Amino acid sequence: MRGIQVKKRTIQNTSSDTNYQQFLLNEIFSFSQSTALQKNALSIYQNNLLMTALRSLSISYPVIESMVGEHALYVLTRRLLDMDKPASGDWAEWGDKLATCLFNSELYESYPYLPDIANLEWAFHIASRSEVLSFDGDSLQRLSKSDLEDIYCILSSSVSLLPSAYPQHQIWQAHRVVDSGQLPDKSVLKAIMSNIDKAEHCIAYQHNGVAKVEVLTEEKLNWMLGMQEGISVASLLDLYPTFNFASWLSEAISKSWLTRLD
Amino acid sequence: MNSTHYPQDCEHGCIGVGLRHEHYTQALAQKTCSIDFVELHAENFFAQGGPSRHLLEEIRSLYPVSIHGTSMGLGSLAGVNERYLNRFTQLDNDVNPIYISDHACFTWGDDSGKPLHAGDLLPLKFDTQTLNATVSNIDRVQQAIGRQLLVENVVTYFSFSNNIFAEAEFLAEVAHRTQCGLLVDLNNILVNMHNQKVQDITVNALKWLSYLPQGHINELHLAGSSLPQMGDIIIDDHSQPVSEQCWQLYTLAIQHFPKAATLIEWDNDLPTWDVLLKEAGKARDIRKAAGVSLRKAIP
Repeated sequence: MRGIQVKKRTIQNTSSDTNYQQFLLNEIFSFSQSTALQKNALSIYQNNLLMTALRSLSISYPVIESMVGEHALYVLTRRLLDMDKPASGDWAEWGDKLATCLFNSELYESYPYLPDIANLEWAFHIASRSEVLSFDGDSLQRLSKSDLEDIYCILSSSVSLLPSAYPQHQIWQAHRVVDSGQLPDKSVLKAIMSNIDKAEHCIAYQHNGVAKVEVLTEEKLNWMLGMQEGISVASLLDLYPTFNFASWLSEAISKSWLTRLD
Repeated sequence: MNSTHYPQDCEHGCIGVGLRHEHYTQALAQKTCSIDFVELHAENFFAQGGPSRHLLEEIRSLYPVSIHGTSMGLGSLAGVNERYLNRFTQLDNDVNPIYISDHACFTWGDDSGKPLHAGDLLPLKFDTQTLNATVSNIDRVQQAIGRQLLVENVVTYFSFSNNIFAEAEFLAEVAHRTQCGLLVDLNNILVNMHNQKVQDITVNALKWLSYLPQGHINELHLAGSSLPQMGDIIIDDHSQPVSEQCWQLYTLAIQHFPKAATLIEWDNDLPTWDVLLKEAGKARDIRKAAGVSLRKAIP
């Protein structure tokens, strides 16, 4: 400003002047100390990025934060920013690759169920943000008018199917019910850990505007995974002849799992 | 502007607060309230469904709403991301806010052919290339939303050595060329001047304001920041009560921009809802006092 005397922290002209913005973005995300930029200024932006990303993960993954602690989540945040940079302008959409990050981390050897808990939390997060269309009741007429070979069940966009070799629902619930910053009751955790090889498959979905997670039997999981793969009702019944389709259909409609029959 | 959502007397300086997650319950339980509007961060309501949409409807039923984007990056040379703009426009259509705003900064870049978002409000070089990009971006946003956008000045932690314009000149030119409104964050001016070691900060902040076209100033943001860190640098964290220096500048600024709305912005380490409302009450008292003194000054 003319007339205002300032001592500026400045970026000197650099060869990257044609796109100084991309240059600055690259410097921030590299988490290195540039020679072209004031050290303090760059550190502030790098720290802001890390702290914002950390806060975003702690909102999307409260159970993972409770399980691994803030320091470990900070380290994971830094790794995740290297692996998967924010791209949408909405932090709530960033962080879906935390499960992969956990799988590749040193935590995995001791706590191999962590990636499944992360997947479950992300699915719950997505379910809470999804637009759920009402079930198209007219599409039920296809059951009487068409061959089952030509009928496909279309799941709601809020639905995620979550296979696991661990008691993921129990672990998630145990950490979820306690206040932020506290740990679950030791006896509860001990009971879960004594049965850690008990597989628990889950479904995350939204019903009446609220995200929910519940345990699925292996039979229902396989049936619904088959639907997601685009297998027709007739072919699914060939694969799972004892499956009670009528009962499942009623449940799926009442819980807003289904959008329509195609 | 939708008059059905425009608070009474708002044309002459309505007062609002930033409504953040921690205060939703109290704000929604309030039977009567001393504020004229609340400001919501756009991205918190980008979800297509779920509880946030219900919450938005509840808030709208009780308060006039201003939408404040934090990610648009209006000075981005890479342009404004189309998907982001579509969601921003959809929210504007759904809410019909009394004001809609974002920042004079850049946020968008490229990551090996994919969009890259900074997650922060990054500084602009005040040169012709950036001016043209900013004007083009604002034109595009205003075309999309079909109304005037307010553009806010930001805190920066360094300046570029080859600026052609001063920040206020840049903003004035942007406003002139796009007919956008300006949202002036008084705390941001003060923080920048502190960090740039400007002498006589209040006097120079008033000079800064004097460069702006009076008719384009629609809103003022007031905030407070934590004490200096990393040497003598203030990090703009909106985590404190409005500073005395900011109140002092506000008292002077509203005489230049008497019609501008006022918003108390507190984003981190939030106080109780009542404390936030008291800050808004203080702004109202200052406005009233300034109105009296202005009337007295008129023979």
